[in-house]
Amino acid sequence: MAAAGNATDGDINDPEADYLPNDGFQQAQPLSNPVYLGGYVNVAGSGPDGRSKNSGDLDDFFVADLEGAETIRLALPGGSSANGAMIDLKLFAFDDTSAPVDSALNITTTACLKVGRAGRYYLQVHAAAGAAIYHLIIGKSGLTATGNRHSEKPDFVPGQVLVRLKSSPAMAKGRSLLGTLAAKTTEYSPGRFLLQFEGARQMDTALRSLAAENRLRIMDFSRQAVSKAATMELVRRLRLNPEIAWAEPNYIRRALLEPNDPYFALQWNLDLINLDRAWDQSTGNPDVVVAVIDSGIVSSHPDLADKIVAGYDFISSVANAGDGDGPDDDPEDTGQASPPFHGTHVAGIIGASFDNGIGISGAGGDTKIMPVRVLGKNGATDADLVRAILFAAGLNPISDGSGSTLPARPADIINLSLGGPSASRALQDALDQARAAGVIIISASGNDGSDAPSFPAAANGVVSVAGVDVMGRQGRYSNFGPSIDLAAPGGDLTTDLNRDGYADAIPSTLAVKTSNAITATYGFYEGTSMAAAHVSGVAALMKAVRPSLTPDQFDAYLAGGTLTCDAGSPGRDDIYGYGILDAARAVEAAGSDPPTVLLASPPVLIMEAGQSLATLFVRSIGSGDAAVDNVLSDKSWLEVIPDNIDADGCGSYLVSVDRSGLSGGIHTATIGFRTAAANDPLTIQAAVDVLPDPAANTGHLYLLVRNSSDTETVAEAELDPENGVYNFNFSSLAAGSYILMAGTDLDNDGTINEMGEAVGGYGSIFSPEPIEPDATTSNINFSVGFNRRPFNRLAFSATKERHPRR
Amino acid sequence: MPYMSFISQPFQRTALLATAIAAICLATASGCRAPGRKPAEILSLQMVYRSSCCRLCPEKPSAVWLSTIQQARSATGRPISLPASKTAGNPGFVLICMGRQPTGGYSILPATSTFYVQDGVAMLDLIWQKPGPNTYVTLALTCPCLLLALEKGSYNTIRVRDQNGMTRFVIRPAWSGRTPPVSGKEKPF
Repeated sequence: MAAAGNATDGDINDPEADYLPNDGFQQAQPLSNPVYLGGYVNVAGSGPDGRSKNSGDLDDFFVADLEGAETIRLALPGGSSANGAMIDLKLFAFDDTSAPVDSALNITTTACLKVGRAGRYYLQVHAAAGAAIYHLIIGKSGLTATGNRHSEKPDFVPGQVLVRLKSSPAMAKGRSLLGTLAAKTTEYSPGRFLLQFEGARQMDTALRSLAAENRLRIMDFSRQAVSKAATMELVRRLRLNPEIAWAEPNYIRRALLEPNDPYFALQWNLDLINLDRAWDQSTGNPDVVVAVIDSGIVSSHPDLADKIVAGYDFISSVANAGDGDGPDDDPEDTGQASPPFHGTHVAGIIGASFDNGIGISGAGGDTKIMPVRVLGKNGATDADLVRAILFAAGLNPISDGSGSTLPARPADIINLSLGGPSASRALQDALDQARAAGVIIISASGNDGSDAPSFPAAANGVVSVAGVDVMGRQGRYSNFGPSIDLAAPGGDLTTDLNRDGYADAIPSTLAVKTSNAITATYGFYEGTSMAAAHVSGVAALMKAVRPSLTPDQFDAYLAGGTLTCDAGSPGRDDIYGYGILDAARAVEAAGSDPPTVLLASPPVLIMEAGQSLATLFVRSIGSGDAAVDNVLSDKSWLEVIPDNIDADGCGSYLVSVDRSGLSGGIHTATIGFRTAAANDPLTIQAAVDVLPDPAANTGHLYLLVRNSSDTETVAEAELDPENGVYNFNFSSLAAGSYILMAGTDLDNDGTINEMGEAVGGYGSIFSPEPIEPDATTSNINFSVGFNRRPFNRLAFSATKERHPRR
Repeated sequence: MPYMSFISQPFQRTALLATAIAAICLATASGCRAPGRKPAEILSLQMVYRSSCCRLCPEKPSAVWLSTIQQARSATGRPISLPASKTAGNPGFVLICMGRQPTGGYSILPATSTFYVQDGVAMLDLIWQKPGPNTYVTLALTCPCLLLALEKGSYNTIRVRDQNGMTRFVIRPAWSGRTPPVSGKEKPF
């Protein structure tokens, strides 16, 4: 069966699939809401052979009714077809297609749009370059009592473009390029230009000069709209030119800020989380302090020297410390930890000097760093870590014989890019004390690629951060599970998907140790250590905007989906938590008063086929009265019963579902928790899968029957759905043990079950359940969908084979 | 027992060989030397380079023989310089990679500054370290490696063992004239 809520692009590259073109507004393919759609676009000549290889499939248009709180996300799931691909996503009001109400251009990983008002909308997915399988997801993000704020892209001046040329002694090539565009050109800063076009004809000349195909002639725009759309097209073409560092429309009232740090161009990680837009709002505050509890910091590093406040070295074992002594006030990073100078690298991500013409840019802008050393060559002990946390929070006086010592200013944020497999009461107690003192605690989730909890990340009151790669996909090493709160760039040393000539890991400050000295340098590391540091840096920006920001308020912003771009399943999920960090949204959110809220875990309840019972945890955050005085469900088939709650109605609730009488598909219900303080009740959306879903369609499927012993394919069938069901029959199988798996081949490269394709298996695709069919075996059911977790795809990928259909 | 079969199935036969040698030693009561066998040759080794992040190493644990300092520099991506004491001896090199590890705290070290050769097989003993069970470690991926310079001698096979006596890799030096050295099979920690 097709997974509920799944849909397929009507004109994919697979020639065996049904063909329903959706190439324009008039042919827009209707979508349900919510929906998880798999699609394919390509520029002519790009991608594998197939239906659209030669002619191209530049555009897919969709139409959907939206309620006004959805997040629309487009993701390129990766794989060979995504290399070099760039996609544009545009949102148009149904009754005004002259210009998009929102858009994201040149997407190479993932991007999301937010819908501000209810209505009918067109969505356009456009292939700007290359060929790619894409996922288009429409769904609601997590909720708070006050709902979500919508932030629309700022307007821009039609016919004006801001451009920066890439650094070179004379920028001669770039200047020559700009000279061919026939615009009025003003160099407002060295290497930075304002281009002004007087009208459509000049714009047209520029587009032709950049060898752009003028798509505008196909669509019906007014003169004004031609200029706006043409402006965006020109921006895109300029971005593709090797002489151009960046190009943007001239946004109205948008600050122009890009740091002059020379390695900024390599910091794809900052671009992924929209830090440049965050810096437009805030570049941090030197009064904000982030404690980096780690291996210390190389204090002489030129990109860190001005950012460090006094810290402490808590390593109690001289042998572990490697600096010749035990605890003291010298937290210098000696390079003893593994990997060397880890703390220095983490500190650089958080707070390397910003816009100083040296090295990289730290995410936290002007924030200060407190080095607290606990990691030596043999790691760190519980006792050292506990003391370090309390010190950083300003709670524990250090008695070193010369008097008590506290930091001059306690840290506002603690970054813990370290982990161990065991929880401890001492650690939890220290974390509780630090949190109670107002410190926001961020930790890395672990690199085991499993759901095994890592501490302190999995401890109560700690923000746990998973890692994503340059494409915004889950890092191959990143832990997952119920403790994950959000994801941020962790990188991948084994790839160079962005083709900048460097590994797709995280660049930051480092050092090299020789026999005589430690020399400052820069280098790449990968891991959730790096991911956590991004969140700490952005939290520092939030603290600069809102100095009174508390850990509870940070949690409220997070659960409200205002710090992230939703990824994975709609709402919170175990892979990305509440989504991928979005610094611009986070800093903007901090500018609004946080509400008194009830928070639910999970914030969106998804009950898959076969699941009839779930547990919902509710807690209150804020200073108001958030006692729950009423709990309601708006559907008779969903019931909420208190399980273990306190006097304020906070605690655990049991949610039960009665599917009898429900038709196939996704059924949603709203659970309301009413309190005295909140203006609106806390509402939890529950989405219940009831299969089969007659509207579900994952497209043309290839079903393989494989020996369970050696996974050799012994039979295959090609299937199309009828009312959401793919019927199959194999009547000539020899006796034996088999596994069943199915998938799509959207790009027609001959490989099914690769990244981005719909996938499913009997049992599950990750733990297939063998069957031993006989003549009477029937009713073997499993679901296939695009929204399946991307694990073990390499283990189960297969090529389409032409076996006898049975 | 022919050594070819040892090489093709090193792990199953290693325990038997170790047991056989021990039994012979006990039986003869004349040290670890079977009647008619040459005495073990003791040669020197030196650690040339060690890192917690050798990015040119493969994802999986591996070991490879390198005949020259130039090959060693290429394999590590580092400007390796050989300690003066080894220059005249024109040593060979072994690069051992631990593979990609999820955290800090993993490392390889030579157990001694010498190794012995018996019947053409050089026994190389290493300390294969992993983080302690209750230790907090950094959460950055590492790829530890160790580059050793080995004094040349009468060996055509190198067996790399960890501190528990388990064979991690079997390598053939290039001068043996056989097929290029193979990567070993990882033993679980």
